[in-house]
Amino acid sequence: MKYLLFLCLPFLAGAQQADALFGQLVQKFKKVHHYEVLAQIKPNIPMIRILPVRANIQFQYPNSYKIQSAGISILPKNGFSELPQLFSKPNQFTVIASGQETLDGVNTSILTLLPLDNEGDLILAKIWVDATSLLVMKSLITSKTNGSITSTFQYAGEKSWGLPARMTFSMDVKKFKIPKGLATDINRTSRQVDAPQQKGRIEITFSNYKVNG
Amino acid sequence: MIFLYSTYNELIKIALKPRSYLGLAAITGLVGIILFALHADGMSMISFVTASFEQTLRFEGEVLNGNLVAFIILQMLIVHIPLLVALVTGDLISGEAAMGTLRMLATKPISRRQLLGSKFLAGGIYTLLIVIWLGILAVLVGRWIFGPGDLMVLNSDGLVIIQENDVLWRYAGAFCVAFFALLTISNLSICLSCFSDNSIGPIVSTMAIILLFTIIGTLDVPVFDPIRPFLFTTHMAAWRSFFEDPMPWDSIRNSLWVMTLHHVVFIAVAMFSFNRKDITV
Repeated sequence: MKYLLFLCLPFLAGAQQADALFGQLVQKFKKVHHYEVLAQIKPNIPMIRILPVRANIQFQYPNSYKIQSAGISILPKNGFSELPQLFSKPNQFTVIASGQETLDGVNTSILTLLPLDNEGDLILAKIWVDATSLLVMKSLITSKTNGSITSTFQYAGEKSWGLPARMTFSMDVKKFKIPKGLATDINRTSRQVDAPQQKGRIEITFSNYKVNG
Repeated sequence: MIFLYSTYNELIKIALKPRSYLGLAAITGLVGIILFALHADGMSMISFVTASFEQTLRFEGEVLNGNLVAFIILQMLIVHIPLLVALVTGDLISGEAAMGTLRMLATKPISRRQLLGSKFLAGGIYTLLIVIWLGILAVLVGRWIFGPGDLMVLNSDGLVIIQENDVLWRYAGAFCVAFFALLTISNLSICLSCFSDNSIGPIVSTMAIILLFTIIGTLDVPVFDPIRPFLFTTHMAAWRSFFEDPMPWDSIRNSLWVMTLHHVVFIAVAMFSFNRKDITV
């Protein structure tokens, strides 16, 4: 029994470290009660043609977002507001340390968050955390309805709040199918072929943060 | 000068026929119903269109706006407007032949060519009025009720989102091309009208030709591929090209050429037939 406990010790220590790191991230997240930021949303998604759009984003703790754009803008269904949601409910997840990885020269710890509620939409979330500056560098959110969305984060002036200067989302767009009856281009007589599996990207560049103001 | 007087007379004749207002009334009623339906439950229709994309993405901003409403109206009604045009223009010669006024008209000091030309011009002006009325109801009233905004268009290539400041000139171009397409219907029905002595024949024949060509055009069967590009119905939706990005100028130019060719053929056949038409019986 003693030997078994001895063998499990490194795992227990790893789990404690992961919990501690996640706890620190949650504490940092809690410092931001409200922020307002200008965003430029630049989608690059196969089968969608749209110019970059400017938007005003307002965040209210714990996970309320209000997005006002001059025109129509496209955001990923998952990934944008999910991270604050994870941080606002830390007790609803089991945190597992999943190793280390170097991203753009930054050594990151990978944390896997498994929801305790099996009935929810979220299957798992993986976050790559720069443990020294407590910044999320990358996230992978997998849900039942929307598949996986990867987000990468770049930081500049608002590093101390943990707020990114740029977020890039990449997602699978193989499911896009145009209802034939709704898109009748009489000039086009060629038969339609389903789009091959491709990755779509949405880049959001943030500027003029007003944090807790 | 006599040509212009004759055109003026033809316009008066069109204005005095109750059926001329049927088209305007039908457009007003149909647009009213579409506006009401979109105002009441437009978002469910939009969701049906964007459902495939909304599995992964979400759209922020006013998707259901005046520009989209105008596009939906144009798409829905442009199919039915040929009937409303043919209802009036198909009667321009045959109606007079049926009433016996064609014989009297031909005794006036105007050549048959000029007389027929004035009817073509009057038919064109009536078609233009129909298109302008549709434009006013769709774009102006649509924007007044739903407000302006970016236009989201679903093409077979995918989704195109056109910014608000880039939309109005596209509508102007689209309505010009739509008018040119409907002018083909007007000219076809006047051409058919030269061969008939009753009002119904040319109107029904025009609709039958449109139906036949549309079915050939939409049947995705390779045997029709060689003739499909030469049918005017294939190019009647060329107005939609103004809402693509990048805009297929070559395709628009090609459509205009094909439709011009049809105009020339219909007018030439009508001239040839009308010059030889026996108006004594």
